[in-house]
Amino acid sequence: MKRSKFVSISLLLLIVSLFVNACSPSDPRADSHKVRVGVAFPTSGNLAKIGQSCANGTQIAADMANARGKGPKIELAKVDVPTAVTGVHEVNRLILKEKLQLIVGTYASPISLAASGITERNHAVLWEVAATDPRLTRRGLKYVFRPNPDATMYGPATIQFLEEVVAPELGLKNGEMKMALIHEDGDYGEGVAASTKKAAKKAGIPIVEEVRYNAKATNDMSSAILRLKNAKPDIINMVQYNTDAQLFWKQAEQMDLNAKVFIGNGAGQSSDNFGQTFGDAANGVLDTSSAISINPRALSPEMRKIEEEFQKRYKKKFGVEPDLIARLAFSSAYILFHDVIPKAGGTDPDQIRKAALSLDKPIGSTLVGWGVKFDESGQNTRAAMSVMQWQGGELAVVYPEKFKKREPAMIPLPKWSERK
Amino acid sequence: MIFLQLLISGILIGGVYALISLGLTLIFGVMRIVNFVHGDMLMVAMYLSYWLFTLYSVELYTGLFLVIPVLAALGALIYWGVIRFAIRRSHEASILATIGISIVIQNAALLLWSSDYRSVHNEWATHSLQWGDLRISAPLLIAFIGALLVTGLVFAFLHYTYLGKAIRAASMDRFAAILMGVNPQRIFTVSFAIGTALVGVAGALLSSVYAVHPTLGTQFLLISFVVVVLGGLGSLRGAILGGLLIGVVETVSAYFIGASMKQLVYLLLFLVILIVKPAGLFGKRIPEVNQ
Amino acid sequence: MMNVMTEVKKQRNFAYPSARGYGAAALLLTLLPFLLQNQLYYLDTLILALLWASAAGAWNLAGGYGGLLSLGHAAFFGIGAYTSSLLFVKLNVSPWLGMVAGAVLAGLMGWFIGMITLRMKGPFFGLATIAISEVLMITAVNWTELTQGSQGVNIPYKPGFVNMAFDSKIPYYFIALAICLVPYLLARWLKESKFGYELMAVRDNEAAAQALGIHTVRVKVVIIAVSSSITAMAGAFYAQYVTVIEPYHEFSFSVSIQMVLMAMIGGLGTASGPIFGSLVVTGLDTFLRDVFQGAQGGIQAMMYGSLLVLVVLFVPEGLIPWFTRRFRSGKGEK
Repeated sequence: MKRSKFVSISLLLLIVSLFVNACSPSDPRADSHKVRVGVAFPTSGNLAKIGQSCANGTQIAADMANARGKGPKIELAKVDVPTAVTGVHEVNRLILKEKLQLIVGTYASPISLAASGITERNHAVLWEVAATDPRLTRRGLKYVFRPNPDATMYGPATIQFLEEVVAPELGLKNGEMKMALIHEDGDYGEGVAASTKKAAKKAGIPIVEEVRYNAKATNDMSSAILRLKNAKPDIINMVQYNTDAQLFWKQAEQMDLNAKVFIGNGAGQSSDNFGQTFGDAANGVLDTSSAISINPRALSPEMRKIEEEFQKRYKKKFGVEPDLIARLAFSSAYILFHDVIPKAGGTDPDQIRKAALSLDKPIGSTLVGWGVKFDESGQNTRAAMSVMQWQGGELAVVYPEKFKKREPAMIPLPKWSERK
Repeated sequence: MIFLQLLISGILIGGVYALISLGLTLIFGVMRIVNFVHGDMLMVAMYLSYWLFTLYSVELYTGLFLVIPVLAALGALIYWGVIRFAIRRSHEASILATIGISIVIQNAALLLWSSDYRSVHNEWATHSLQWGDLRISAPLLIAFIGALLVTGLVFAFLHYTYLGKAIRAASMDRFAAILMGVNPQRIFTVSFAIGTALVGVAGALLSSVYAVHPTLGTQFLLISFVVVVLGGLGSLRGAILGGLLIGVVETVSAYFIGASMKQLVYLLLFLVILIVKPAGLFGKRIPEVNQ
Repeated sequence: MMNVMTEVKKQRNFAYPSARGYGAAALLLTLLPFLLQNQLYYLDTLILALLWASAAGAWNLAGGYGGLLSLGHAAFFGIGAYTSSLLFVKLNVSPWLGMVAGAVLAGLMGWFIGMITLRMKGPFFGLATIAISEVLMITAVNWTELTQGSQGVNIPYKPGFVNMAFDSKIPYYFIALAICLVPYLLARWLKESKFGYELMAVRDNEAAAQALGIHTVRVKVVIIAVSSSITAMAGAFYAQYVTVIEPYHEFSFSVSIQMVLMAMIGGLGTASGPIFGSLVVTGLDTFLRDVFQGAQGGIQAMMYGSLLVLVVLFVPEGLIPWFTRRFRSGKGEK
C-alpha cells in the first residue's frame, strides 16, 4: 500500500516535471543550466599579446552574458594555441576529451584554418573572432562563423575613405594620389595588401611602391623607408604588427619620412602600445579597422549600456583598458553568448547554425558598430570597417560619417620638421 | 646620395649587431658552446632598463651602470647553475641546456611582464642628426659609439690583465692553459659573466630603439651567430667588422632586392664563408672545431 | 671502434628484445588504436607522438649515429610537407606519391647539403643547417607562384585512401606508426651492419676511421640523405594530418629543435630513444596542458624548458641508456 503510493506519487511528479519541461521551452535554463565553450587563442609565443587580449575580451563577454541570464550559464575552457599544430591538438582535446561542441578562437589565420578542419570533421562549431584569411569561410565549411571582417574588406574601406575624405581635403583627383604600400610578408600583411591593391586599381589610384618585409626578422627599417622616400608618395599605407610598426614609426621620424597621409590596417597602429610609446608623435596616424570605440549616438541604447559595462568590467578584471582587439573579440563573442546560444538553447552545432543564420541585426547593433547577418558560408555580411585616427593620444573613429567621434584632422599630415 | 645614406644606415645597424655579438663571440670563443640564451639576455637587459626608466625614472645611459652588474651576476649564475655541468659532457648537452634555459627565461618573462610591447620613449629615441639630406639616428649612433668603447675596454682587459690573458689562453688552447695552471672553471665563469654583461650594455643602449617583448631575443640570435662566425670565433675585431659587414649587406640588399629577401643574402654569404673559410674572415684556425 | 662495441653491448637489453617481446609489442601496437577508439583525444596525442618520433628518429640517424648535429632538419620536414601538399593541391597527385616525391627531393637536398658541409664540424655544422632551413623558409615565403607564400597551403579535406584523408583516426595512427618504424628499423640495422660500424667509427674519430680505409665522405653524405628523406616523409604526413602548412612554421627553428630535443631526451644513438623521447615530451606536454588549462600561457612551456635543463643535469646520456644502466646494475646486484 505504502509502496504503491510512493510509486504513484513519483510517477506523477515525473509526469508533471516532463510536462513542465515540455511546456516551457521559453526558459531554457530549466533543461540546460550551463554549457561549456572552448576558448582557443595563442596566449604564449610571439602572438601572445594579441591572443591574451582576445581571451580577455571573450571572458568579459561570457561574464556579461551570464549576468544577463538570458540563456544557459556559460563556462569557458581556455587553451593556449601558439601554433597550428598545437591548435589541432588542443581543439581535438576540447572536442574529443572535454566533449565540447563549440570553440571560440583563434586570432591567427593558420591556426584558424587548421582548427576549422578539426571542428568541421567532428561536427563542432568554430566561432572565429579575429582571423582575417578569406579562405576560412570560402571552403564550404558548415560550422564556421566569422562575425568580423575578412582581409578582403580592408582594401575597399581604405580606398573609399581616401576617395571621399582625403581626395577633397588634398584637392587631388584619384589618379593624382600616389600611394605606397609597406606591409609585413605574413598571411595578414599579404592578404590586406592584396585587397588594397585591387581596390586601388579599381578606383584608379596609382601604387608607386610596394615594400614587403619579414616582421619577425626586421631589425632595421631604413632601407624600406628610403625606398618609400624615393617614391614620393602622397599616401603611405601600412600593414604592420606591433614591434615593426613601432620601429617603422621611430625610424620614419629619424629619417624624416613625410607623406600627406599615413594609414595603417588594424594590428600595429591600432594597438594601445602604439599610443603609449609615441604619445603626441602618434597623432595624425590613421588606421582602417573594425572600430575601437565608435560614437555612442550610432549605437543602440542597449549597446551604449553594454559599452560602459564592458569598459568597467574589463578594467576591473584585468587592470587595464581594453585595446581594440579585446573589444573586437568581446563584440564577436558577445553575439555568440548573448544572442546565439540562448536562441539555440545550448551548443548543439546544428541549432547554433540555425540560430546564427537567423540573426538579422542592423548596422550599429554591436559594440563595434556592425550589424549581424551571416551568409551561408558563415561570414558576417554586415561587418563594417571604419577609419580611426590618433588624436591627442587617443584613437577615435573619424569615418564613416555615422560612426565618427571626431572630425578627421591633420590631413595633410604636417612634415616632421613642422610638428611640435 | 641614396648609396651614402644606405651605407650610413648599414653601419649603424651593423654597430647594433656588433654590440650584441661581442658577448657571444667571447663565450663562443672561450667555451665553444652555441649559446642560445644570449638573445634572451638581451631581452632581460632591455626589460631591466625599461623598468628602471619607467618606475624609477633612471635615464637609460645611467641605468646602463646598474644593468651591467645585474647581467654579469645573472650570467655567472646561469653558468654556475647549469652550463658548468653541461659543458663537461658534449656540445649536444650544452646546446640542449642553453635552449632549455632560453625557453624558461622567455616564458618567465611572459608570466612576469606580460606580452605587452614596451619601449622607452625618451628625447633621444626618435632624434637624428642631419647633414644635408643624410640622417643619422641618434640612439643608434650612441649604440655604435658604445660598441666601439666597450670593444676597446674588453680588448684592453684581455690583453693587459692576468685574467684576460688567461681567458685568451684558454680560448686558444684549453688543454695547454690548464697545464699552465689556469683554472678553467674560474675562466669560464668569468667569461660567461663578461659575455652576458656585454649583451647587457647592448640591451640598455637599444631599449629606446626596439620595443621589448618576451620573444625579442630570437630575432637577434641568428644574426649574431652569423656575425660571430663571419668574424671568427672569439675575435672582438672580427665581431665588429663582421657586424658592420652584415649591417651594410643587409641594408643594401634590402633596398635593392627587397626587405623580405634581405636575410637570404646574408645567410648565403654566411654559408659560403662556412664552406670556404670556416675559421671566419678574421679568425684563426681553431683545432677542435675546424679541420 | 672499441667504443662502438661496448655501446652495442650496453644497449642489448632494450634494443634487442626477445621474440616473445616482439610479438607482444606488435600485438599491443595493433590493438592500441582500437582500445583508444573512445578516447580519441589520447589517440590524437599518440599519433602526434608517433609523428614526432619519426622525425626525431630520422634526425637521430644523422645526429645520433653519425654525430652530425643538425639544427635545421625543419628544412627537410618542410620540403616533405610542401612537396606532397603542392602536388596534391595543384596537380591532384595522391599524397602517397607526394610523400615519395618529397622524400626523394629531400634526399637529394640532403646529399647536396652533405657535400657542401663536409668540412664543417660541431657547432659550425649546426649553424650552417640553421641557415639552410632559414633560406628555404624565405624562399617559400617569397616564391608565391609556387608555394602560395606566407598564406600557406590549405589541403582540402576529401576523405579517401588515395587522398590520405580519413574520417577515422585509426588509419592515421597506422601510417604514423609505419613511418616511425622506418628510422627505428634502420637504426637497428646500423647497429649490426658494416655501414653502421663505419658510420659510428666516423662519428667517434674521423681521422682514425679514415686511416682504417673508411670512405668517410660517402658514409656521412649517405646518412644525411637517408635521414633527410625520412624527415620529409614525416613532414608529408604532418601536412595531411594537420591540413594546413605555412612556411613560418614548417621551416621554423622550433620544429628543428623539437626533433633534436626528443632524440636527446630519449638517448642519442639508440634505436628506441627518439620514440621514447617523443612519448615523454608529447605526453608531458599533453599532461601539462591538461593541468594548466585556462592558466596564462607560458606555464607549460616553462615546465618544458625546465625539464630539458633537468635532463641535461641529471640524465645527460638520455633516458633509454639511463634505464638500461639502472636495469643492468639492478640485476647485477642480485
